[in-house]
Amino acid sequence: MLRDELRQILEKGLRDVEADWTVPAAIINDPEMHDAERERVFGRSWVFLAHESEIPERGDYVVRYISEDQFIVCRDEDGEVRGHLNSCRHRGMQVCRAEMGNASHFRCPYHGWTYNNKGSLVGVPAGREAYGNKLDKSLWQLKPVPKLGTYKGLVFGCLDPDAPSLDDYLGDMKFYLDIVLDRSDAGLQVVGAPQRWVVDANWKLGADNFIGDAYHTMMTHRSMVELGLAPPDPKFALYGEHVHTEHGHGLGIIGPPPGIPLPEFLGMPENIVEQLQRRLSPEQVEVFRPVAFIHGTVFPNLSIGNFLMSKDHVSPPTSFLTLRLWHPIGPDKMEIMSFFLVEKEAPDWYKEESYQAYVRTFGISGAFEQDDAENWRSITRVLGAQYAKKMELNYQMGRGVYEPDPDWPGPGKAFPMDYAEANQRNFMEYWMQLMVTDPASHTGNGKVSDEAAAEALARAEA
Amino acid sequence: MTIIHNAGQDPIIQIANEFTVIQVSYVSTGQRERLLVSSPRLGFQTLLDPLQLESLTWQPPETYSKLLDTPYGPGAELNARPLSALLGKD
Repeated sequence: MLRDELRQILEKGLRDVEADWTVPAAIINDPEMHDAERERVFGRSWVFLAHESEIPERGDYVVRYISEDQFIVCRDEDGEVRGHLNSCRHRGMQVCRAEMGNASHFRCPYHGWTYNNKGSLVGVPAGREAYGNKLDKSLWQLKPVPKLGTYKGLVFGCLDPDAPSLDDYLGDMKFYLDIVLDRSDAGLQVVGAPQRWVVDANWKLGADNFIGDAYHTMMTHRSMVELGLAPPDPKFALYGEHVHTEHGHGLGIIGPPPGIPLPEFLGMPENIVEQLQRRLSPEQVEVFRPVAFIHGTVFPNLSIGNFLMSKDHVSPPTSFLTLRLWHPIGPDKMEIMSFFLVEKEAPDWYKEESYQAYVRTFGISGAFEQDDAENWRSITRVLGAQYAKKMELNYQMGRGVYEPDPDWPGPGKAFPMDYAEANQRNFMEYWMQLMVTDPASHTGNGKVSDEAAAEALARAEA
Repeated sequence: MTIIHNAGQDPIIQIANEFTVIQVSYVSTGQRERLLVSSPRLGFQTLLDPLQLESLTWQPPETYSKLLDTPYGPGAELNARPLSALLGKD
């Protein structure tokens, strides 16, 4: 049950985001808000776990997270992708303590209960002496992710067994995801392990930044323009379309600044351009042709960056693709996981140039990333204080300036420039709707609503 | 994989994951050729000849799950005896 004070903040926030285009500052850094968010947002949303190319072979596994629940995402001995709770059914010990590896079987380091990579319990030490061979192992398999789904190589998990399908959840966002994920015959590969680092900032600030904040680039990343790593017009991120869809998803699609010629299709290699023109719909090709930057967020915490940038001030720009996960580990702390992806069939020179452009601009050592992280740390620190929490934050950009774009060929609600905050409002509104909606009796994460608990108590007393 | 070189002997191949370590080496006694597979942690070892190794090639994954029914090696030889049986004997 949500405490009255939080509920009032959120219900007022929902009215305000629609009427005044403001958002309550209290949603950023508040321990109780964070506790509720774990159940109400992460307990019900489809959360990105891994890319299939990270576990290409049978037995490959990675350990990934939905809020604080951790899952072994693996390819079993039959080649099927599976997700198991990383917790032994005996005492709950982590079964896999390495974050990635290859194993046909997992053996718990506490007592040795052993599971195959389908999740079945196959072995119990001293089974005859300790259990008289009476333990029914078929009842004690690793708990599966309640819902597991894959879309174009992205593996998602959801803790709510009653959630809509992944296909419905992604909805119109798939039109845009396909442009990034499905433009080559052999698909994408994640190169190396994701970079991971912890930032003292709330995860929503990363999601908010990527879903629609083209505006910050002019100030925060001005130095990148001065260094020659971004286009010479400081307002380079203005010239785009700002689009959002249902379930809180959204993205910005930015073209070349006026008078600055940039190559079509993010300057991708010829063989990939040939494939994407065949694979994507005419509308998708039309949307993608003039693109210089794509930035977006799949609600809640998966963001996409597909950018055309130079690795240094003398090299021509090269595009790169990064996925990043804003994994919450507290109201004021997140672990960022940054994935670099490239088309498997791209030529080697492109893969190398693309990686260098990525690693010098994004990732732990990337200048863009460091610019952003400092802002998010500062915001989180400031908004954790009692007076600051009572403030409303201004999400009014574009108000009275422009209307939805009737000529946009893609789905969703589109606005004709990327200095806008419609995507961010859509994200925050959906987040607040989830927060004020009490979970159903069975939320899929083992918790039960107060009503259901009262009913159970009444039954027990009878 | 690690290759452990023993002076004057065939090298030992060692493979490991986070769950265990296993060593494999070649053993020849003139006419007999086998692979010695050993578990340094648990102290078990087995010598496998070509026909035994061949039979492994068509085993389904379930075979190995069945073999891991006793994850720390055979437990059937254990004879549990209550401590109380030892008390008061003197």
